[in-house]
Amino acid sequence: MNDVVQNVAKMPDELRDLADAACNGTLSVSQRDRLEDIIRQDEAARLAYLAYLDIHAQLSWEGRSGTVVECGAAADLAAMPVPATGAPFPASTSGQESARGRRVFWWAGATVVAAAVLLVAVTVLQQKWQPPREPEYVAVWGRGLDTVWQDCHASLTRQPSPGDEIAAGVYRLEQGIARLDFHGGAEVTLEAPSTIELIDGQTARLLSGQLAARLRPQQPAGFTICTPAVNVVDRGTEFGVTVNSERQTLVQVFEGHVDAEFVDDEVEKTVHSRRIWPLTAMRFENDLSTPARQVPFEPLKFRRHCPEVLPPWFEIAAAPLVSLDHDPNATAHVKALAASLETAPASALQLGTIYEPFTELNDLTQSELNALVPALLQMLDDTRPLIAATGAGYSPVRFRVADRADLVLQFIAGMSPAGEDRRQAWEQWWSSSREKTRSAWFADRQEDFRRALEGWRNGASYEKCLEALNAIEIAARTNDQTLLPALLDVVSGEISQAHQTEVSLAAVLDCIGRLGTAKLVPELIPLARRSNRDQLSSVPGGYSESHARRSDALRAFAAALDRLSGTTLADASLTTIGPSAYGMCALDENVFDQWLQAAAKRAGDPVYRSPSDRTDAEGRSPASDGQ
Amino acid sequence: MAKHKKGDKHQSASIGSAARVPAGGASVDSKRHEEFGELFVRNQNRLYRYICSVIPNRADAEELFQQTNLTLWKTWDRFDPSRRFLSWACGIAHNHIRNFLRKKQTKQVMLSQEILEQLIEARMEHDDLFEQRKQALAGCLEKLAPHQRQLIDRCYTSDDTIKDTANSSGQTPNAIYKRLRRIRAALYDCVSRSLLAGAHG
Repeated sequence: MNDVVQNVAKMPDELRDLADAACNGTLSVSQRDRLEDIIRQDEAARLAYLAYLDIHAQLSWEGRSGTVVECGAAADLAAMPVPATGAPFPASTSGQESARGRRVFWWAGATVVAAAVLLVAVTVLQQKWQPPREPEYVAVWGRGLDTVWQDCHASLTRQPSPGDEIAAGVYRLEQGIARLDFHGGAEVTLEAPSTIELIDGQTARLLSGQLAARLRPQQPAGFTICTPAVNVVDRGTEFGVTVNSERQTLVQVFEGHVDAEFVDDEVEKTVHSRRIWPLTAMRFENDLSTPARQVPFEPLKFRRHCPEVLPPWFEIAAAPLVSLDHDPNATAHVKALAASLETAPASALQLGTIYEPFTELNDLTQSELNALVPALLQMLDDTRPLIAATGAGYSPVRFRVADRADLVLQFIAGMSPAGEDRRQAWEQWWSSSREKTRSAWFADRQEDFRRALEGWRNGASYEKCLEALNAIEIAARTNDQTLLPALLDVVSGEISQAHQTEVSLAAVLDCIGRLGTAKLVPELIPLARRSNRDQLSSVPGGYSESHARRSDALRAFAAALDRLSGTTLADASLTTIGPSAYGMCALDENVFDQWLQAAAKRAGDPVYRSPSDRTDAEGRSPASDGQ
Repeated sequence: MAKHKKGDKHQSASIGSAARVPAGGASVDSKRHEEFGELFVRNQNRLYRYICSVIPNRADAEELFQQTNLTLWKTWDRFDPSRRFLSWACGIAHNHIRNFLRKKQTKQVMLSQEILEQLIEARMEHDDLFEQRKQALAGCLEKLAPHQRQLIDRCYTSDDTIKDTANSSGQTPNAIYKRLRRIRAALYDCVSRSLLAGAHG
């Protein structure tokens, strides 16, 4: 290595000239030929050339973010390098540059004449050279919670503080939650682990992870989040974006709307764009040939604000998943957790965001288990007061917390005999308190929910709409069938208004599918038929917003009807209409009768009896007169 | 709501022996995804320098860099973690460079494919040397005179051509080139000396 280092140091002048010309892009043809000869024959020359260009490359890298070098410190004249060729450095030229001697003379303070020269020279200098540019700052660090922030310059060991300006570049949030305020007017809440590239005041690229963005009022629209699959352009809204390890992008719009633009890399142009309405969520694949799908809107999925303090672990536990897919290798996660449970608040955050490790562990050692179980039991005890303090407010948050507690209990019961007693005690307490609170809560809220659902249909405020969605989620998970009529009402209203209001039918139909029984099928079929007929009444030549929305609804219908009637007809019966890239579809007319038949059979089957069936009078035949 | 498949659980009285919830269909490891993110960010500088050493024109280098980065994320799961990240990333950059040379007809005189392949190979083989040199560069930059730093700053941060820089400072382009030549050579030697000093010190 020493030889190499020495050889590289001895780079001859001719090669330097040629390398320099290459940096400047001023190589002549003959110079290029000469350079190639040298490189071809001499390995040392090759390395020297590369080393010279590497300097140019590193300067370019620094220049990308705005400042190559701090210009504050005075030059250390004594330490100035002398080139091997012996020429004085820096050599003076036509008078702009000062030779060493002259500068010392000026700064040493001189005669009046000299001072005048100094003044002139300084003025000249100021006129000729612009001050170094600020790095291109793109955003301000608003607030961070428990963050570990890594930047591509790799030398940054200091973590940002509130008010710090952040320059363009690639960054990684390894841990915690951060808020970035972009100069273009958007507030972005970023969750770890995420890799993001800040491009300018109006643009960022989410390479992996999750963020929520909200445009401040009175700011121009157009803030864009680029992802590998699709570019999301803000039209005055609040929305969330997730990019997972399968390069899928999930976009969920809270308020206002966004345009999802598909860019063809080959031609680097926007090929088509899809508008996403409020309270809807869409998943995009990385290749243009797979159309986007609507997915259920999850109100709690994104962190829309950066909290001030780290919430207790059970509130974090109620927060939604960070990633779209499951982690089959969760053992490693929990091992790490077991090791760190004593120490950091970070562990609480991690514990909250991993949702199913406890059901997948196979090889914890006994000592790791010993460390883990008591800590988990302690956490469970901490949870009790939260769940017990329900009063009139049984919220989705607490609901999920209890869900998480159940998982922990499963784990404990499975792994440790001592845990089983604990689990039974918990179970007793939980089922009694759950019944009590649930019935009290529903009694209070039913009317509210019905009104919220109606309000949603009639364009009520955003908050009311969210409440309606929450209601749907809870109804589905707690099997509250009393909301079914209201849900059906929403569906029928939406269809009669030709899908023009801002209702996400995917969520509603998903809920209906899970709450209802086969007896519901004859009520749903006419609605699905009607929507399908509207869909087929005109053939779209290109992208059509109304066809796209109806396609989402029809897919949701098919999934719900399959579920209710116990069939798997959806895939085969959905056919593409219009250009395939847009994913617009319709249902094959024949499938409706198949659903009716299957449902009739199921409803009459004594094995298949749901709670709502029991309320029917005996001997009443299932509705088989489907239209 | 896709994950609410367990929603029914709350009705049943006994939980303990309930079937284990399947881990889901995705076979891609999200932990690997995270690790990839780390490697990506840490290697940005090296990747850029690799590209810019081979294609010195800053605008071209930038474009190639962006293209390479995008490809890295689009094909991240093809990266084998037992390999060196940088080798893989530079391989992808190399492909983009090859395509670029094929398509682009630029007036600029460029080195031939054959030579570029030689350079690329030499670069990968002696990566450590270049990393050491880069570390030394920061110290050498500090030793530049203010007016030299200003020139470097001016030429390397703005999108102006040398001609523009020359015009706005009342100099000929040639004069600027000469000065850059001197500064770069000075930096080169300073870095070389640092390495030699380090080797013996």
